Amino acid sequence: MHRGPELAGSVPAGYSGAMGSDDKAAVLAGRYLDLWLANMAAWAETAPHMLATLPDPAAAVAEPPPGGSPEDAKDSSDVDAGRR
Amino acid sequence: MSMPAAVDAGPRPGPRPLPLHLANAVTLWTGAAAALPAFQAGVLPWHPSLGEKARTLHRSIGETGWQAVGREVVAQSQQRLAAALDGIEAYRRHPYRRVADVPPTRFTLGSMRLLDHGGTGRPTLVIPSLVNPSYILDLLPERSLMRYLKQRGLRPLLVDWGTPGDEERGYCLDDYIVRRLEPALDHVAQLAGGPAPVIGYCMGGTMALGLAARGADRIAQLALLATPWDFHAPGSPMAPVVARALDVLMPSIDRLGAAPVDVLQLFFTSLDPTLAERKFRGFARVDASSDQARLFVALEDWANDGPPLAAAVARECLVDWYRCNLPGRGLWRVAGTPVRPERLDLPLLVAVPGRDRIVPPDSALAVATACPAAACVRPPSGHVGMVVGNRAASGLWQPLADWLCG
Repeated sequence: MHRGPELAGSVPAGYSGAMGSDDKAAVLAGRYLDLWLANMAAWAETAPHMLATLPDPAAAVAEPPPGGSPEDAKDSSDVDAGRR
Repeated sequence: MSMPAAVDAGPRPGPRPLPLHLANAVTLWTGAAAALPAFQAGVLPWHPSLGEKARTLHRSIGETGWQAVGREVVAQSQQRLAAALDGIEAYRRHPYRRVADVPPTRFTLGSMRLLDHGGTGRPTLVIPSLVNPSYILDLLPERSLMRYLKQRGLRPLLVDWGTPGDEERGYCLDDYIVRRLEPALDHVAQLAGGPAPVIGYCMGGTMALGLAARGADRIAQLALLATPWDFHAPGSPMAPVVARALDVLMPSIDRLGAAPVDVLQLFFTSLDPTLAERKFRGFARVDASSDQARLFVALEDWANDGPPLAAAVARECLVDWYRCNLPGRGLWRVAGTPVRPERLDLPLLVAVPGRDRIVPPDSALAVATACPAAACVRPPSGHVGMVVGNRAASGLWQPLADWLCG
C-alpha cells in the first residue's frame, strides 16, 4: 500500500556530509514538511487556550437553569472561587 | 470467551466523517506546497515555539536553492498525501471485523441491556459513556477490562446503551439516570444481596455520580475512570470551542432529533486536527496482518461506531456541562437532587490518566479534590489508552481491581 519511504523520516535532519545538492534539497524539503505539520498542530493546540482568554459574548444567555436552593448557591460560590 | 474469526463485509464507511478526514489530508499537503513561497518571503505565520527552527531552515534553504527544494517539497507532499490516503483505504478494507462473543443479557430496559460477563464474584455495575459503544471495555480478548475484573473475582455487569429507540430519543440525562441506571443498579444490588460496586467510565462516571447522589445506599464503592467534572478546569480546551460553536450547531441537532456520531467526531477532531492524518499515514506502514494493525482497526471501528446522542442529552452536555459547568460549580441536579461529590459517604476511587486530551486531568481531579478521602490512581496514559493500551493492565486494571477487592 505504501508508496515508498518518506525522505524526512529516513535521513537524519542534520546530515549534510557527502550529500549532493539534490540530496540536500530532499532533506530540507522533508524538514520543511515536518515543520509545516508541527506548525499546524501547535496552532491547533494553542488556539483553544487563546479563545479561553477572551470573553464569551454568548455566555450571558447561557445562565444555568433555576432551581438551586439558597444553600446550594452559597456552596457554589465557594466552588467557584479561583475559577474563571 | 473467545472472538470468532473475522469476516470481510466490504469497505468501511469511515473514518467518520470521511469527507472531513480526506479534506484535512488534502488541505494539509497541498497547502504545504502552496505556502512555500510565503515561507521564502518570510510571511508564513509560524507558531512562536517553532520560530527559531523556521529561521534556521530558511537560511539553509537559501544556501541550497529555493527552486530545488520547491521541487522536492511538491514530490514529498505528493508522497505524504498518497500515504495518508493509502492508510485510510487500508483501514477501510482491513479484513478484521468485530464479531464479538457478546455476553448474556441479564436485564433489558428499552434499548439498554445489562451484559453479564459472568463469574461467581461480587456483581459490579459498569457504566460506560453514552458516546461511543460500551465494548471499549471488552475490545479484544486480550484487551478487556471486563475479562480482567472477572479473573480477579468480580462479576462485571456492563451497561450497553444500544441505539436510542423512540423513547430514548426524547430522553434527557435525568431520564437516563432515573429510568435506566436506577433500575439497573437495583437489579445488580439485588443480585449482590446488598450494595454493589459501581464503575463509571468517562461520561458514564459523571452519570454514576448523579446515580450515587440519589441512591448511595445501594452503592458499596464508586470508581470513576477519566470522569469529567470541572469542565472549566485549567487545560480544558474543549470548553471555549464548544461555547462558540453551540449557537450554530444546536438547531441542526434539534432538527435531527439526535447528534449523530459524525457530529460528535467533529469535536474530537477539533482537539487535534492533524492527528487523523498522522495516524493513517502511520497505519499505511503497518503490516496489515499484525496484532498492531488488528488493535488499530478495532479501536478505529469503536471510535466510529457510536450511536446518536439524543438531542436533549447533547444540549445538556454542551450547555449545562461544557458551557455552564454546572457540575464543577456544584449546581448540577438530577431530577431535583443536587449532585455534590463532597456529600457522598462511600468509598471512592478516581482514576486520572495523565495524558488525557479528551477529559483534561484537572477536570477529573476535581472530584478527588472535593473528596479528600478518595483514592486516586494516575495511569500514565491517554483517555482510551488507559483502558486498552499496552500499559492498561499495570496502570489501571490492577490498581482498580486491588481497590475493589481490598
